[in-house]
Amino acid sequence: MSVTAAGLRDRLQNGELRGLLVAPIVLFDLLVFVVPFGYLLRISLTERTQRGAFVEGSWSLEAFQYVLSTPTLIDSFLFTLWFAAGVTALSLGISLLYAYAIWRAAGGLRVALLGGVLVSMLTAIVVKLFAVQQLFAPNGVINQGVLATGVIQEPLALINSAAGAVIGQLYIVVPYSVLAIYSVLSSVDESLLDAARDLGAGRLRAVVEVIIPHTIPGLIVAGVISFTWSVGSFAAPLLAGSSAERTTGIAISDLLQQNFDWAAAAAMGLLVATTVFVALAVTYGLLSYTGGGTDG
Amino acid sequence: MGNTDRALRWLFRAGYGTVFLLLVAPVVVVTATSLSATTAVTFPPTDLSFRWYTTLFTRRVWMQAVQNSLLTAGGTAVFSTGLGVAGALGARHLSDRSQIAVSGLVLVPLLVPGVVLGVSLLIFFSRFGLQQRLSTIVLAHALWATPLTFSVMRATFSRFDWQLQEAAMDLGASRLRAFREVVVPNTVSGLVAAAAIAFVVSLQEFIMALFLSGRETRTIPVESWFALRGSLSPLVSVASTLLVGAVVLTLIIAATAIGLERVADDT
Amino acid sequence: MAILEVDSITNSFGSVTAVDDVSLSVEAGELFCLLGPSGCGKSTTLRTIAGFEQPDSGQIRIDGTDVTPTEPNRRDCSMVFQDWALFPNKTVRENVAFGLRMNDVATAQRRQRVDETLSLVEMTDHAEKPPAALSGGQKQRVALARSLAFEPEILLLDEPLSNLDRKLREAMQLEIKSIQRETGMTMVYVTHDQDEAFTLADRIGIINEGHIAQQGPPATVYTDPTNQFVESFLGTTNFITCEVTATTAVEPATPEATDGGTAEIELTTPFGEPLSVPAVDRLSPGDTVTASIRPERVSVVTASSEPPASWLFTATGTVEQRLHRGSRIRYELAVGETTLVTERRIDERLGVDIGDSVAVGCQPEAITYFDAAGRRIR
Repeated sequence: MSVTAAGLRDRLQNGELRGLLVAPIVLFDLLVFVVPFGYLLRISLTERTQRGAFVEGSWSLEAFQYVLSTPTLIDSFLFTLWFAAGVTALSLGISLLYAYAIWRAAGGLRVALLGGVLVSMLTAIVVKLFAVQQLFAPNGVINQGVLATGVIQEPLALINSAAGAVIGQLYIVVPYSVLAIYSVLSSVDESLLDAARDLGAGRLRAVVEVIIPHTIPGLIVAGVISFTWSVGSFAAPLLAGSSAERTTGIAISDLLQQNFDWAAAAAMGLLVATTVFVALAVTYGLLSYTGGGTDG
Repeated sequence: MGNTDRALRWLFRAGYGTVFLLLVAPVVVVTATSLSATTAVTFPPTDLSFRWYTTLFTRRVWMQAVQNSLLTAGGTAVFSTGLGVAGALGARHLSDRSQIAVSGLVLVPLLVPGVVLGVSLLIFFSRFGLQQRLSTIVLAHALWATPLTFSVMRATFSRFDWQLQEAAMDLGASRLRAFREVVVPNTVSGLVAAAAIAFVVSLQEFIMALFLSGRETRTIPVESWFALRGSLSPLVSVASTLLVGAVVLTLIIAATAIGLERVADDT
Repeated sequence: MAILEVDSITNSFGSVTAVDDVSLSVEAGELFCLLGPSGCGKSTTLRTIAGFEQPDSGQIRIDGTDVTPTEPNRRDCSMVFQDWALFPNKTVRENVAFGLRMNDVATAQRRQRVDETLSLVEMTDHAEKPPAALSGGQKQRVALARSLAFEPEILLLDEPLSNLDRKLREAMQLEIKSIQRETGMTMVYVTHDQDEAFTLADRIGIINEGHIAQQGPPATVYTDPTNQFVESFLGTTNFITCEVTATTAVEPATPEATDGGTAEIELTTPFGEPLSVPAVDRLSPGDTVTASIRPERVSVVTASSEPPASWLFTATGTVEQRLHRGSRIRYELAVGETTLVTERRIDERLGVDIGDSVAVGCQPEAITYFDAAGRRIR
């Protein structure tokens, strides 16, 4: 025995093995993340069955075939991509405007605007969706307000519709998106805006020419957050959308808990995870590309 | 020219003003509706009363949910902070490549949608009959909380002057004693912040909890979810208000411990 | 005629008045320096000229046209910022072309103009680099070129050299001066560094607490200050606190002191020798008058030799300190109840040691007097 207990204790005391302190966290992520994910992959490769969740010990591509040949599942996947893309676009627009407003504001206004983002971040998703149901309902304050202006005659279908699903999802992603953009923007020197104006650029042009190129890293991070979270969206379309807004997340949940078809649910889950990782890989490529462009 | 400029400025103000109002509206709505005097959930409420607050404390399911939430959030805070502290201490002594590998592994779960994590954990834990337990929910929440505690603690330790520990050892303290006497007191604010953030993550999370909880192990968000999908009563507003209050309180503790700027920087 | 006229502008931020009734006018082709300590309002004045700040009252005129309500992008002036504010996402060429592009200059013409300007500041070789790849001095040149490129009427420079080290700063001062001569550009230059102001300026405006304390050619401002702030701000000096003893006319101390015959007021000094100032109404017995003698104009001879008759006064003092400061030597002399400081170049050193007794005085034109409010008495 080359390693005695006493020798090990000595080495621990001398701090030689301090790197081993990462063992618990690594072990945790392996056991609770990597292994379950591997198991998910394994289940997606079993035979589907009417009796029980899956056929123990079998190997089959049936689940993937089923997922890729069932129109409702394909539709739900395509809808999810569209939904995520739309939410991402809206989220970027809103967040850029708001982050820019925080950046330009001074003193109390800045604190208030930042406070608004923090308040929203600290409100649980369920709470926000509950409030969306109240606020955007046909008889809610927002519809009542717009009706009072006389612009519309009938209340708008702002919940239990595609619009509702998008509004709900925006509530989830916008606060994080704003902070991602603001954190980049806050490092930009405000005199750049003065310089552009001084050289003859109008207000809007100065922002487009000088400020937006700077916020690209922030916009990319905000885009990633908005897109990946929306691809996995579940709560917003279920609570604020109608039955037509059936995202992959909802489909997986139904396969798992109503159809008891675990193999198909696992296959669908892997499809979502793959989409997310592809989106991340593309973004990483973009980031290193633009990073090389501005720094090199 | 002056006119378009002015119009643009007003449009900009109206734009961010609207976003601001929409961002803070949910908190206003739940707080207002929780004070409803009637059984209807209406905003703005017509009469105010605290009756639903007292009612909540007599409902067994809600009290169970409050207890479950506190246990889960507390468990997640302790567990992820422990992992985060040990991991951050260990990572300092690894090569650059190993550090990147460890951080990568720790951070990835944060990018995986909750539905996918929930499904994968439900399928995995069912195999061992461990689903529907609070400890399982703690493990799930720790997947999202640990990356945050890990980064907060790494930032905290990177700011700490490790010569202090060497000085303590030079003065005769053992490595462990030096850690306890010098390192811990000087990094305790980071520790509090990490724990608070983990607590908040767990308190708010509900998709994984939805998949992994049973009738007896529902947290407040999960119970609210079922209430929202069923019949609406101001009890949901009360539970939501309490949830928001608990989150804000926890973060105030964290913020006073390390300063708000750093909470934003480290996470 | 004056190309830029600043007509009594006042600028407040909340309760703080940063610029208080400032007026100045700058001739075409002139380099005008605004000099003052930090926080005196000189940068705010410049930003108001550029259009980034709106004055509470007063008017800015360029070429006789009132531009006070005009947006910065429509004003025919351009600013070189203290931290240069180069657009980091654009190359040097794109930075320099920016103003031309915003002013809708045609592509071919733009290209030519950018090349000309880059060669003027000797940055042609770096045209395709991003600003991050440049040294401080090079960034400075690009910032200058960016503003020069679209040929504004007036160039505004806000402490453009303060981020450079001393050697580079001095080299760039000469370069800016030569570019200004070459292009005939009108420049308003803000600085807190008096050496820089004296090197560059055709005329100087000294600002203190939002007011213009004095303006004029550098030599006049230095030798003939109108108030105590200007005297103290421009280099070190000896301030001697005196007291008015009598306001009745007395005999001049020396024939050269005044034009002869005018009434004089007598002062007691901390070193015993009386001084006198021209009689002005605002002085009465007991008032404080501050006399100022620049260190290089304090005259000293060893106690054994006879002091020149042309001296305004002759006092006895003791050498207290002798400090070698590179090319100069600084002496501190205890004279009566005060200490006078004098400086000599190393080749003009005084043959004295610490503790030696000396005679101290000055020529009549070496001394200036200020009343308690800081106004010059003449």
